[in-house]
This record gives sequence, structure tokens and C-alpha cells, in this order.
Amino acid sequence: MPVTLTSLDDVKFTVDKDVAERSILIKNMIEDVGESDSPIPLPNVSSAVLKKVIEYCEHHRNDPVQVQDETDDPRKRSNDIEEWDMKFMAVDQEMLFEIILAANYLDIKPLLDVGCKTVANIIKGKTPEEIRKTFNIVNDFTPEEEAQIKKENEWAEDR
Amino acid sequence: MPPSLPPALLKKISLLLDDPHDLTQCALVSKSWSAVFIPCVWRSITIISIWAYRRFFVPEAQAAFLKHAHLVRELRTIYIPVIERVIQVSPGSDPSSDESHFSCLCTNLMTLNLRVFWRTSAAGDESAYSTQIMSDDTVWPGYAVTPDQELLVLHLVKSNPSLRNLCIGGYIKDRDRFMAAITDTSLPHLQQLDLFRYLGHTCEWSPAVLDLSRQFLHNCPRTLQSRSLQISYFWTPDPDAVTVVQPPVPHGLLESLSVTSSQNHMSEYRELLVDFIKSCSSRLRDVYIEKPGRYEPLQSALEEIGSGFGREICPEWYRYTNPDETFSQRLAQADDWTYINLTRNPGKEGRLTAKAILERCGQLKILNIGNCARLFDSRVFHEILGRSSNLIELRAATEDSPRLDAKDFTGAWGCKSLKIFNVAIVNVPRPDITIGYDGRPIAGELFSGTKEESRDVQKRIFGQLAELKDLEVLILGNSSAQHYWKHPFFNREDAIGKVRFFDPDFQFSCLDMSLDSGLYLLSELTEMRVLDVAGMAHRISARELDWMQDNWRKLEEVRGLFDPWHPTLEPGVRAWLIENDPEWGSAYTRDNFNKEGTCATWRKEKSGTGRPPPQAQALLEATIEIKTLHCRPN
Repeated sequence: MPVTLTSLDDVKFTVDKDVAERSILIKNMIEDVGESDSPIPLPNVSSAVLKKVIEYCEHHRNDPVQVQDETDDPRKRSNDIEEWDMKFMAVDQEMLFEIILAANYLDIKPLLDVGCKTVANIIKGKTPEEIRKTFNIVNDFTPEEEAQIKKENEWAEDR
Repeated sequence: MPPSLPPALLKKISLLLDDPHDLTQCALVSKSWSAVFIPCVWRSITIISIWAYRRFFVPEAQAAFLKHAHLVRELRTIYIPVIERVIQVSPGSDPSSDESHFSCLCTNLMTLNLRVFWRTSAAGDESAYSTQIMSDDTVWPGYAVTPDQELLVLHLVKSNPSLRNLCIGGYIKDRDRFMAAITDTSLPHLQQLDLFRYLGHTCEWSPAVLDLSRQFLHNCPRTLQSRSLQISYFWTPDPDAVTVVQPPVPHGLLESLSVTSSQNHMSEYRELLVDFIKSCSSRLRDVYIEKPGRYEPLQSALEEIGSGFGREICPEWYRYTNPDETFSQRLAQADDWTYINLTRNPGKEGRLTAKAILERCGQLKILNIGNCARLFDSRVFHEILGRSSNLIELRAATEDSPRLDAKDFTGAWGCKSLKIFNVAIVNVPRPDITIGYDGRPIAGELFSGTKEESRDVQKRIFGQLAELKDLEVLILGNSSAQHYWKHPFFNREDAIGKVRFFDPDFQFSCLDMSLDSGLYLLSELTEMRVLDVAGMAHRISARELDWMQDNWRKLEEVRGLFDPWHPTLEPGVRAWLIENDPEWGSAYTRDNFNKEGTCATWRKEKSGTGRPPPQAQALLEATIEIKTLHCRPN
């Protein structure tokens, strides 16, 4: 049975139920409301992002459901991203963050994971200035504050 | 407004960054990032280099430590002054008589790794430590640990009942008291205990060892899946040693047990281990017991609990406890071994094992023989590859592994389904190389032969590799070598004052990987994802890189193309990498370059100290020298 999703900018997407239910949020909504034709509003997700998210869910519709595991090994590698996912994540920084935020809101753990891994990979080896530039972040430190934090943490850089 | 990530998501990302350098860089990005990443930086404190030590003791870092000490989960150090910061003693009190005067800043540690006990006590040198260490980069942090400082360590252990891993290395004067104190401490989560083992320091046997071992084993929680006990002692017979038998607690979930202890051959100790094994279930499949003397009692205990010895995985047990003969018998009896994982020679030479593997290799899917240098010679190795028609994964590349000799590439290999090939190929004539990594001319067979002979040999080898049409990963170098600079003891001196860094893995007599020598023969290996040439005197130039881009469309990573220690012999590679910025740029191509073409790793080092560590600088200079000296134009 198809499900209709409405984005922030009021665009409607009709997708198969199993695709929509990759999102735990939507799955729970459908379970709570029961069978219904009325569209599901997703007021936090724009149509551009929702389109991407649906593309992801369609590609992964047959994946086994990931067991929620809070005790994930924190040292798990960030370089084990599947080829398709890697290409899927090759978007501009703004879209990358939007996808991560949407995955978080919609509760799609595998998408959230792959998004975070992508960000982690981008960060690796970069200087603070390069990170700011890449992610469009304003440096709100004074030079003194920056120097202070540097001094506080420098011991950790050299093992 | 551009989207930004909330703290919870930044936190998630922080867990994916395992290089502390990345965490410190993130902490400097902005105030909101700093709030997330500073606690990550303080989660793990490792102070084992003099540079880290100095930066840890600047006033800013010390003030920050006081603020964040409760966040620390891992503490590793070789410096007593670091411990003195963690445990503070009220002024004027006598800590040996009243423990309430201690206050411990870290009480949530899961890992404590202290290798501070370097030397036997020698009177009068206690005070020399701090002045020496601050005045001379190269001083070894060896000094006498006073009884008060031992007390500090004990108190640190006692203040952290959450400990999972406890490692205390080196020499302690009053070991029995120390052991008894640790035995009395309740550490219900302890999974790994590693005492007094460092740089050949071992201690004399005492009954306390047995008590501690028993307590450690018997106290392990029933839910535990892996447990490792390492206590290094010399065994000298002690007529007063008393064995206390305790009823074993069942440990039904335990899967892996590792006991490294030189007194395992002692019968009381063995009985303890036998009792312990009997308290486990058939889940226990991976047992590693060093030097058990007689292994039969342990083996019958394992049989009694129904531990079936995995058919696919060679239990660690065999690695150490069974001599070559028993292992080979086991191997010969079982028809369904598909996975052999040997990381040390079984028995002295492992000849029977090698023979058994040769006889049964037709069914093998995975063969991992790293560190088994003498297991087979090159000819037997070739023979195994000839017969292993089901082999998918072959790993034999550590510094001490069997290697394939270029002159033995004669017969055809049967392992046509191989996906991962990780073996060093040696003895390729390389007349183009004239000077070794130490800058001295090398003579000998390696450099005999003409350029044409060298190419003939290489084409034969490439021709053989070209048959492996499913190959995805080709590791001919040793990528672990290039991480030496990250190793905690890299650029340190050892106990006798020698710089420990050395590179036994630089391969000179290897394939040169050039198109002229036959790389082009690998054009049909379209599944290639990873190429590793780390530490090889390869001659990959812009031409070869273009060829790889064109022919290996699935290429994800090339390791060791260029790194600080082994500069490439061909000019233009660096420029090519900067210009093309290939997707398969690995940590040692992409990340190590910035657009100025300097090596980012060095930039990092320099930003901290103003200069690279002295030994590293010397090595860097040495490698630059090699670059200009040790090859002829090909």
C-alpha cells in the first residue's frame, strides 16, 4: 500500500509503505494512526531533502532492519561506506547536513550513520580553518581564546 | 541560515574520529564544536612521549585537566609525575598510614596502563628525575619508584573499580605487597590484567602470584566473554607454596581465554587453569596458554567441557600449546578445515604443519600465516598456491612471514579465485638500485643482473598475478611499516639507549611496478580495489598512475605510493597527485599532501614543537638523501 508524505514546502511524495517505513518515525506514525489515506506531514523536511531521503530508502528497501544498539563500538571505522552510499553522499555541504538532520528527525539510523561517517571522513586531517571553510562555520573565538584552547589540548596531539 | 549540526550529532561524529589530532582540531573550530570535542579529547590521556609530557604540564593544560579529570576513561603513561597529578596527597599527611589523605581526580577509568617502573631502585637518584627529564630530550624516563609512589599507583587502582584493563609494567621492589594489595581490591569488571612485563623485566615467583591469578580468574563475571591474564614471573621452586582449592564459579559465556605467564608449567598453576577451564562451557573455543609444560591436562579439560575446536578457525590454543606434531595430526584428521589462522610457527619449525597444510590445502578458503617465517620456504609456498584451488584470501605479510621468491615463479597457480593477495615477493634483480636505506652502497645478489633480466623476471611474476582475475586487494608492501611514526615508541630510545626506530621492511628486491617491467599485464584485473606498495622501492611514475586510473576503474586506495619515510624514486609523482587529486588517494597520498606539496604530517609535528622530533628529523634527512642517491634513472 502506498503512503503519501508531505514536505515542509507542501510537496507530496507517494512511496511504497516498506520504503516509507525505513523511517522509524513514519513507521510509528502509521502504527499509531492505523490504515489511512491522509498524507503524513513532515514539517521539518524540505522537498529537495525528502527526495534524496526517499531515494536512499528506495535503494535500501530490502536491507535487513538494523537492531538498535546503543553500545556500538565507538571505534568502528568510518571508512566502511558502501560504494552506492558514498556516491549518494557526494552532495554539497548544505545538503549533507540537511540529509543528516532529516535522517535524525525521521529516525533512519543507517542513513544517519553513513552521513556522520561522511562528515568524519571530511574532517580527518583538516585544520580548524579548513573545517570552518568546508562546513560554513563562523569562528566565534577571539584569537586569545583560540590560543588558550590550543595550549590546553596540545598534549593530545602527539602520542 | 545555513544548517548546522546539533551537539548530539557532533558527538556521534566525534566517536568516528580515532586520531586525537583530529579531535583537537575540531575543538578549535567554534564555541559550539569546542563544547562537544573538548570532552572527547580528555576521554583518553596518553602521555608516553616527552613532547606530550611537556605539553601536558603547561599551566593551561593543567588547569584544563583539573576541570576535565572526571571525564577521563583511559590513562596511559610512563611518567610518575602524571600519576602525581591524578592522585593528590593532603600536605603534611603520611599516606602510608592514612589513606583518607589521598584524593583521586579520575575515578571512572576503564583502562589504566602504567609502565612507570623501569628500573630497580638505586639509592639517591629519586630527585634526579624531574631535572633530567626537563633538560634533555633523549633521557630515558628510568628512575627509582619510591614506596610512596607505589602507594599512589595502588590508590589509583583502588579508586577505579570500573577498570576493564589494567596493565602495570616493569619492576616493583616489593611485589608481594603490591600484588596482595591488588588482590584485595575489588575490580569486578576487569577483563585484562597484565602485570610486571616489560623489556625483559620479570619478577621472581611467589605464592602471591597464584593467589592473584586464582582470584582474577574466579572473580570474573559470569557474563564475561573474553579474559586475558598476563603475569610475567620467573619461576623458582618455593617449598612453602600452598594451594588453596576453591570451588569454581561457572563461566558459561566465556569464549576466549588468554594466559601469558611463565609459570604456567608449574603444576599448581596448571591445576588452577584446568579448574577454570572446567568451569567454562563449550563456547570456550579460543584458548591461549603460554608454555603450559604439559598440555594434556588442559586439553582433556577442554574436551570434557565439549569445546569442539572450531573447524573453521584454528584455535589459538594450537598456536602455543601443541607442538608441531599434534597440530599437523589435527589438521590431517579434519576434512573440513577452510580457514587456517597461524600467527606464530607451531612448534620449532612447523615442518609437519607445513606438510599437513600442503596436503589439505585444496579445501582452504582463507590462509593467514603472518609471522610464520619458517613455516614454508618459497618453493613450498608456490606449491601450496598451485594446489589451493578454493583459496580466496591469502595473508602472509608481516615482517616475519613466508615470502615468495622471484626465481620460483615457474609452475601455474591453482588459486584462481583469490581476492586478497598479501605476500611479499622478493629477490627480484634490481640493478637500478645502488644504495641502501642507510645511505651505504649495497652489494650482493640483489643487484646482480641486467635491466633486461630484471624485466624478464618481473614479467613472469606479473604474468602469474595476471591470472588472478578476481583479485581485489594486492598487498605487496607492508603498510604497517608506514605507521611506525605513529607507534608510541617510535623515535624513543630503548633501555640501552638505542633509537628504536628501524625499518626492516623496506623492500629493495621487489617488483618495481612499472609498465616497462610488466604492470600492463594486470590490465584485466578489473576488480582491483586496493594496491599496497608501502615500503617498496617501487618506480611508479605519472605514467603508471595514468594507467591505473584507466584500467582499474574500481580502484579505491593506493597505499605507500609516497610517504615521509619512503619517498618515491620517480620524479613527478607528487606533482601528479596534487594535480589529479585521484579519488583513490589514501591517507598516504591524499591526506599527506597539501596544495603546497609539503607533507601534512610534518606540518602537524612542526606546529606543536616548532620542529620535528630530532630522530625523526634525522630520518627525514636520511630519506631525502636516499631519494637523491640511491637509484639510477630507470
